Amino acid sequence: MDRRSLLKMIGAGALAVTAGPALTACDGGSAKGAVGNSGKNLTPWPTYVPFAGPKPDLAGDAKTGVQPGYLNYPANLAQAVKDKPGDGSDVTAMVITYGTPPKPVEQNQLWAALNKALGVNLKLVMVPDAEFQKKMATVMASGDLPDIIMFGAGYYLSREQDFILSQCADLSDLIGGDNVKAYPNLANIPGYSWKGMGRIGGKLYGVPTERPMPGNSLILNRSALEKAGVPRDWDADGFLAAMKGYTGNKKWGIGASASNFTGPNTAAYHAGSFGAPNLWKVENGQFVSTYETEQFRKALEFMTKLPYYPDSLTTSAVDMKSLFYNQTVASMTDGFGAYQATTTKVKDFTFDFALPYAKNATPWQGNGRFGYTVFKKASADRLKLLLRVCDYLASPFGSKEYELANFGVEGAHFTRGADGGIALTDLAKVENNTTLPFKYVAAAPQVIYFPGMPDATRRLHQWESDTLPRSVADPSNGLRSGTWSASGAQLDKVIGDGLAAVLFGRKSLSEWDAILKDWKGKGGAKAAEEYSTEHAAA
Amino acid sequence: MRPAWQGRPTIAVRVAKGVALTVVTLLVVFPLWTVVATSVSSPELVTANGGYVIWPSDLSLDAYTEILGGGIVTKALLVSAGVTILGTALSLVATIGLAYGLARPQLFGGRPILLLVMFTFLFPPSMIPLFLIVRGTGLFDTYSALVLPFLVNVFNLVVMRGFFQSVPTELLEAARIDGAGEFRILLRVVLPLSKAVVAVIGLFYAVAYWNRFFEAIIYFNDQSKWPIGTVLRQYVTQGAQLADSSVSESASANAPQSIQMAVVVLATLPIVCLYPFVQRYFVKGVLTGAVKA
Repeated sequence: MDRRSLLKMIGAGALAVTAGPALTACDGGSAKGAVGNSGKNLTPWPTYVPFAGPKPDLAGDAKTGVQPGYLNYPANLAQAVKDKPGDGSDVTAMVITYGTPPKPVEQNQLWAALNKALGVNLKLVMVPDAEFQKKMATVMASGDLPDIIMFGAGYYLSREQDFILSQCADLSDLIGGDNVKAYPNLANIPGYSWKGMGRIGGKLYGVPTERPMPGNSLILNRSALEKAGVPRDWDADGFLAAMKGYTGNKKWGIGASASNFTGPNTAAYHAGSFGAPNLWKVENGQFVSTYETEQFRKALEFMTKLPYYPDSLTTSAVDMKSLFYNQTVASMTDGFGAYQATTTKVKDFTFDFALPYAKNATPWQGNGRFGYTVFKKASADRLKLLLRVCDYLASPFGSKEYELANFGVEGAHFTRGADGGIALTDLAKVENNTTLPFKYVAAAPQVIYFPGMPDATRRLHQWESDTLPRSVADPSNGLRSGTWSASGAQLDKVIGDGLAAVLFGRKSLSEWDAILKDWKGKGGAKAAEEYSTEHAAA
Repeated sequence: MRPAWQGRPTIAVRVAKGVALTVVTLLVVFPLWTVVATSVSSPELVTANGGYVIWPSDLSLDAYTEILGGGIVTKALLVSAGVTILGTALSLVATIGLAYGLARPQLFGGRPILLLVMFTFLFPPSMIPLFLIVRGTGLFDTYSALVLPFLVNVFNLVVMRGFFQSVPTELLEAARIDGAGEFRILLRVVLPLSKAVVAVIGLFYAVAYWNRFFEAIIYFNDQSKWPIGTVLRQYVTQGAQLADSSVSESASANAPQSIQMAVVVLATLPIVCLYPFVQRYFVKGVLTGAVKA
């Protein structure tokens, strides 16, 4: 082939490649504004009706978000679902997975038991976390949808809400307001979780997977700090002194992993301690980013003084956890779920989440949900069946249904330990709710219970009681912004990169304004406007 | 007098070369050693060392037991072996046939076909159109979806066509005078002369099929059909879950790094075993096709 024909071909190809997007841009685009709630009749949030199950040892508070704590596994389990939800039909559900593939249903006792209890043949299409966005993009493009589709898990999909609005079932009449009482376990999902999911076009389209209210925090080695005489409650100077005191001899006060710098996570605990608003504040009806507040700047200045683990920017989350477990770092930024994982890994020291180090702190809440599931359009009877399946899977802790969905079959997957608690068997290593993630179809509100570790339960409950009453929510939670849907990940990255640059000395503190300007220019300012409009409507 | 580069090096130069080679070898071997050492270490040792082990003082094969137990990996290995063997065979047949045809100057319509093939090389289809085609042709959730869309790799085709073009025309003409048809010429004359390039291209295809993981996620809804690459990737990433966890999610008592390293060992082993057998063809095969396209 000669040079000329090659160049011709490249030219023709380039034309074909550029013509595609240009033509699709003419197709009317998204239903702009349709996903927003501004100017719409708003479906009422589902009424909250708490489950009257086994009494917790440490009381929860739905208002502040403090979870009920159980020191021991309840001796008498309640019945959360009266009738079998299904009619024997097939139900397909597409969910994310973090586990290895399960054994097929014919060889899988957990899967078979759940199908029997649900009265359906639940087929799970499991999408690995790393490929979630790509798989969802192909499914959304194909139009061939499973009955139940999970969204969320920290991903912003392009035109997610437009897709749901046009292709998925409106559940407003089935679960809006008091209607949710037909599904008592869904009614037991607290309001903050529904609000975290939000409405689309004023309607309710999904069921949220609840997560506790605390957001990202700082987990710390309590034993080491106690040894150095550091009190549990502290001020900024005390915190700085404690972290510096631990540093030296190949040990560091604070650890963070590379993934913490894909967004503002590293700053969450410190910004909250300095009283900065949770990502946004609403001032005279206008959204103002926390990044431009005085409190956030103070927090940032304070953070530059902290002794961070020097390789934090290149250390994976898994490796950073190992460095925390082996006490190379005294503390690390991590999600709330890390507490549970740490209880199973750390045996030779006690650990805690850190209390904020100021009296006027505003600890940041999470968004109250892991994700949410929506249904393919179907008849009302079919939608009710799918809601009953979700209702079963959302059965609360202390019910027989929860035990089956989360621990499996007694005798096969677990036995009763000495204290009557759950003791997992070897079979549970391969058949569990990680390899078979029914929990992402729907799940119960989480409680604090660590088998055989009542002290860990007490400490976490105490931390929640001390922290959550003064915690603040992200006002954008559950609101729709087209700009944020399209570029949220990129905008978070600008902040994450900026924090990394300032904390590790590549940029000076005075350059934060330039970072902020970049963030606003790339869509931060537009997102603020869109949230303001949405907020006024909600 | 012999030029300097043909002379026997001095002892100092030989020692320097030895040291340099030893250092380079260590740089290559050390990471591999760490991978193997971490994969056979107990979770306590891995955690105590901050994630990676150089000297596995406390041996444990738990990571391998966890991965190989349960039958999932065994099934995936069979799937991958089947896809790799059949896929490589089909790909070789298709590539050899097409390359031979396109290498013959007298082929009617050869040039437009070549242009068409080259076009897909310069502008490969994106994920969603390819997905829609796989779905539309009924390949979705079938093993064929891992083979048919990738049957001919244009780079391999160009290399092979270049090789076939280098076969002397006189040989082909002699065969033709003896009454051989094109098919017989290909089988009896060209292919026996092309063992090197066929072995190399075969290896390229085999490695590509063995390593294919992403397509299985996109084209399969049934995860029991996942090949080994996809399954092992899940073992690697399962330790990375951050935001979410509930009671039984941490069922694995092993350190995630041990699992990851055991996966690296298992995933590379088959190709490492295969490589020495085709290595002698490797340089020859690639170089022959490289100067002509």
